[in-house]
Amino acid sequence: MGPSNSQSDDSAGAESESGREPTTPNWVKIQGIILLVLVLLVLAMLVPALFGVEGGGHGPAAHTPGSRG
Amino acid sequence: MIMTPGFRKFMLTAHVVCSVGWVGALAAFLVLSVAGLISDHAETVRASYVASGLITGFVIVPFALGSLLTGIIEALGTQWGLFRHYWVIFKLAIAVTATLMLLLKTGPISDIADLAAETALSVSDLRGLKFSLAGHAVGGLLILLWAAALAVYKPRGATRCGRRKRQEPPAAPSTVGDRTELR
Repeated sequence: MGPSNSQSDDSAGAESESGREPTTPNWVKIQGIILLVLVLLVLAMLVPALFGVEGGGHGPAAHTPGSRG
Repeated sequence: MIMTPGFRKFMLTAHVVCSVGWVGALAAFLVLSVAGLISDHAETVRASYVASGLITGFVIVPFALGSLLTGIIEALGTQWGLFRHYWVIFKLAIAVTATLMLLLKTGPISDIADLAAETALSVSDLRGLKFSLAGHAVGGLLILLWAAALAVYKPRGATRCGRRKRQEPPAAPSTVGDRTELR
């Protein structure tokens, strides 16, 4: 997941040369929304697992009534 | 904290190996999941899930944790930093999310592998779980490919932290060893 090579950075992003406060690049906004949705989905799965709440749809036991008791 | 060039190369190699291995092992997992889902042969179904359990425990999870760890070390040890560039933050978030998702799924994967090893798991058994595993494998592959694309394209955009760091005066000459990497 980390930086995996060392090519040119040129990381000014949407920074302007005129000294104004740089804006967040568009790709960050768009991909940020996608990532946020993904993180929320994982949290929705994680919370029931952490607090021992049965999700109702996961695990073989949920699919095989009485077979693993 | 800047790594020596030799150590940086070593960590980069480890990171690439772990990340590529993670993608490859997940692709193999997907093939086995689909085989288990659509095959008409009970033995193939059983073998698929037994193999899936082994691949998950001995390949996917170690590679995922290795990729996450080496990525963090690589970021902290170079001028890229962990929070200086948006693409690095995105890769970190993607890797953490994918790893959490994977760890959440190891339980059900292990369960279905045990079940397949111990009982005659039929073609129609556990259909919902089989779909779920294949679906998560597809989702996992997509977000790993997203991370790979970010690593290759490195889209522009420095965070506030990154801009501040760049405005700071350069560090002492002794740390110049790896400074050429961003040029």
